[in-house]
Amino acid sequence: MNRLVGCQKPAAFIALAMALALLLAACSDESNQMLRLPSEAHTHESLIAQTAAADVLYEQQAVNGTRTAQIFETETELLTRWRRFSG
Amino acid sequence: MAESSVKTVVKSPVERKAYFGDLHVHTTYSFDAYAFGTLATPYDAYRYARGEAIRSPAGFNMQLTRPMDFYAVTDHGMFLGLAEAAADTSTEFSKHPFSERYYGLNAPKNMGTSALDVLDRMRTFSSFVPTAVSQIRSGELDRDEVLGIVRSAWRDSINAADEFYEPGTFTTFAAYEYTSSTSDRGNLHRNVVFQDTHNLPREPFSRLHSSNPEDLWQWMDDLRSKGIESLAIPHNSNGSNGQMFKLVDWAGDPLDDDYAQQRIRNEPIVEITQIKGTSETHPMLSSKDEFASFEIMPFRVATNALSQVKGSYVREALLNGLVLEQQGMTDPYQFGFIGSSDTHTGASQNVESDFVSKLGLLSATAEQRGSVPASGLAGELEYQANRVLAKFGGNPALRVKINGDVYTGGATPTFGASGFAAAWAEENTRESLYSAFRRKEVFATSGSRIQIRLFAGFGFDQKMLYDADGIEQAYAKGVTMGGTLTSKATIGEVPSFLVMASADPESAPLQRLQIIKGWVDAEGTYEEVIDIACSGGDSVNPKTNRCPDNGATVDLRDCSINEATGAGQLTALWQDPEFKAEQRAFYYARAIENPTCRWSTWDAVRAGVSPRPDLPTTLQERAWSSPIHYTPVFEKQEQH
Repeated sequence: MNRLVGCQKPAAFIALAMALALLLAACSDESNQMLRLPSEAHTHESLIAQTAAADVLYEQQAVNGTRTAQIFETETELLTRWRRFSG
Repeated sequence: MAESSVKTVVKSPVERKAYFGDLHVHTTYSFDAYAFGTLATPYDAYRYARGEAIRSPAGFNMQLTRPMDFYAVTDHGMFLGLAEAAADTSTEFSKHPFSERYYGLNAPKNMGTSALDVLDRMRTFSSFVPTAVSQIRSGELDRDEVLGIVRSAWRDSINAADEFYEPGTFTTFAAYEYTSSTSDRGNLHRNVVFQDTHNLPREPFSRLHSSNPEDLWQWMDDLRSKGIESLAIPHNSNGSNGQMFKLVDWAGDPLDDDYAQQRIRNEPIVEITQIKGTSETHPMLSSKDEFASFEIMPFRVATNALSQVKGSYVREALLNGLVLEQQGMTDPYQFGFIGSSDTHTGASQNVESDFVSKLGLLSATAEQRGSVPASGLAGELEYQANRVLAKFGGNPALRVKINGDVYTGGATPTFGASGFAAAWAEENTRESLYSAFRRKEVFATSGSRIQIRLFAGFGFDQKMLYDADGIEQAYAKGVTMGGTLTSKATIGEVPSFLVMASADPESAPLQRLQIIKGWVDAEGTYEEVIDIACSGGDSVNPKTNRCPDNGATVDLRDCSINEATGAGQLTALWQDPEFKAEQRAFYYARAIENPTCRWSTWDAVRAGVSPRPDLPTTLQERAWSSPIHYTPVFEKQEQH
């Protein structure tokens, strides 16, 4: 079966998440993550830091990645098909 | 250069009416839509556009209150239909080991919307594209078999378009999305729309053929030389990280005239608003435009990284186009505007009070959309679990805590209930609408069916606003949106702009009518926003160029508005007091509604909670005309 069906919210995962959550909740110093408004996001320090981290990751992925892989040849062959509408 | 084969409609332009539609719709054939649980086919999408109810992946009905006039299914050309073929155990492709993990992905028992369900769904699907690419390259997956699936899905998408095309009543187009991006996740997506279905390529040109949009344009030119006419519509430039309208080509070289001509030949219009935000402009670029913060989606598409503002917005591109033209080049950015939705459920999402976003099972509930807090212990657990996962490379923005409440973070809450593509066309047919797209007599709205007209010319007078043949005169004496005004400037006349807007009877009244002007001189580029008509008969303050507050209000307890304010129609004949005959400029019109509740506020009202504090509670729906460019003829002046 596929992983989705196989997962079925395993109790172990939930228990682990709860334990970690309680641990973190007990000792975390949570700051308010309010952005003010989306149009002000570019001045938000945590988003700027998050972006810098993402850029490092994307740069690494670009070296070995498959995002720009060309796997099909360009062609302009036309489709032959039965058309239901000919207007 | 490829010859144009655009078909024209032999009718008077006076007969042109406003038609509303959506040129950006995904269905089950898109790999990501399938991952979101979407089972709606292109046929279902067209049924929805005609007014029928279709099922959301989460099981509820989605239905328009008013049918669309036109609709185009634009599934991702990249691996078109492949996810569905992998998950459907009756297909040959499903027998490949690659497909096993997708079996039953969208079976009824797997269509949950809990955080764990969604997390597992996305974890299952995250490797779909990279694995498919790497297995095709390695030979584990048969390239021809994959192409066969793509071609079959493409044929079916075209068949759906033809089956639902009803000339005069409802128009469909064969279309798909070219889904490219740069290595920094700069969005370079385009929708490719074909004029008709008489002859079409047997497969869509996708990112898997080339990530370089210039190769897409060449493919379109090659098809055009075979009589197959199409156009590409860039979208989500806001999420392009400055890549969509940068001033170098794919290779990093300065733009040249060949590039500019090929680009504008293939991309005459741009999508400036959709669910993933509005790309008109940004407050960081247009600090004097107090309406510029409208539905800003600040991230690169499908990431939690901020998108660089410069190079990502349409108004700035229009200005840069003027500079290039002044330098003697063709303007590659002299485009018209449309909106569309980019829904991934087959169903457009244009109504604030009824918005379920675009992500199927990932945005089916208000909690998922981030408009109301996740409830109690579950929300806290999700938040803390997300913090742990973030330390191991997970997305830190999935959950955020605001004033003690846990919300969905990232881009989803910044999505908007937008938008419409609208065209002034003689009739509701492929020929007529496509011709309107080509001549850029199109406009965008953020979701309301506001109608907007813009003409520019010499010899206009006030009577044209009221005369029965005023529009006929405007067509005869001037140019309409998408056009270029050049004549008579040499003799010192100042052009007039005729602007008309009608409110959507099912939305709020209009508050104001504006002209946005951009121009260039030897020192640089400039922009200005000028109110030209105010509701309630108020006059524009000549010092601020703004209408007074018209007293429109929204009651955030129930989203009711005071409908006594505002206008059903606003019109103006305006002359630019700063017009200079030798100065290149563009002008477009913007019609702004009175404020109404944003979708996130509607969600909060229904849930009985306060609106999320870091989202706008209200917004002002709007329509944007395509620009009219003014091009001086000073070369001739110099000869004089």
